[in-house]
Amino acid sequence: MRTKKKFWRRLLIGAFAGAILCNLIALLIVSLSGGSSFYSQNLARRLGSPAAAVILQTLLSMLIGMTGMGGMSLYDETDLPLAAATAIHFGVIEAVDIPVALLLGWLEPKLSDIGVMTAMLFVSFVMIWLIMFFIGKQQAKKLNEMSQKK
Amino acid sequence: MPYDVSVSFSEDESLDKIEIRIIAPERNEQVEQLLSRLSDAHRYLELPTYGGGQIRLRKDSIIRIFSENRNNYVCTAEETVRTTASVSELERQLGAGGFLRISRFEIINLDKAIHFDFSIVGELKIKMEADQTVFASRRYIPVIRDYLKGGDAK
Repeated sequence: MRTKKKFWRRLLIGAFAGAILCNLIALLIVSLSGGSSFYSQNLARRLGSPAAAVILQTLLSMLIGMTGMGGMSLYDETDLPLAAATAIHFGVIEAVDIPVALLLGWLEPKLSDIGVMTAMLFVSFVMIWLIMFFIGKQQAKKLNEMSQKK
Repeated sequence: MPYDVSVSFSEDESLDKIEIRIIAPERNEQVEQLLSRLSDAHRYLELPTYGGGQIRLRKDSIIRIFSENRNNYVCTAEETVRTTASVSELERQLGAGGFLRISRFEIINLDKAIHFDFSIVGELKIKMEADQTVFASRRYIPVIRDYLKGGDAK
């Protein structure tokens, strides 16, 4: 029960954080690159209005945040080995983020761009796994010390 | 001559422990046996076996209890006993102490853990006595830490 509550809380936090952060990043990129709008003009044309493009961008940003934060439950709320939890989290984020990025015009539909984004995500997850692996090693070492003192 | 035995229960809310009192016409061999069995009962695990019999194992001799291919086993340094009791039934009998349920299929005695390591796939690898190795989820690290600090594994 506690696990489910934590999961839903994470989804909620992820939705808010995703909506705010993704729009902020889009604004930042636009202001740095001298662009005219923080949403895709193509998307606005296809949807018929800029407001619709902003709403869709916000909703899909929430989805990105939800998969990122919700996926954290794989690490501490399941019995999955760390490698499996990291691989599943990577798979889910990859499956959501790439189509969302393509749909919102954040990513060109080119194999090279998709490859770069996948590689960046992959490296991030390898680093997450490495950090958690060394934390686990330290925890095991601490258990050995405590076991010898007992 | 053995006496007939009747068992009764009375509730006393003022008590903070279970008190078993034997009332008999004399302290004979039958009474001595009952006293011995009752005072030792919490130290033993009664294991029903497939032959219809029962085996008693000292709880502190148990290294792990596990289920494999729908069979349940209790493992000590000397023997591995196959039992008809489920892992959950045995968990209820074990009570408090260093026994920790690390999965649906396994209970380990933390007092028999020799060495902890973290495996490459990200599980806690526990080397037990009698050259046995078990793997537990990272989720159990805080529970084990609390037990080693002097708490209970439950």
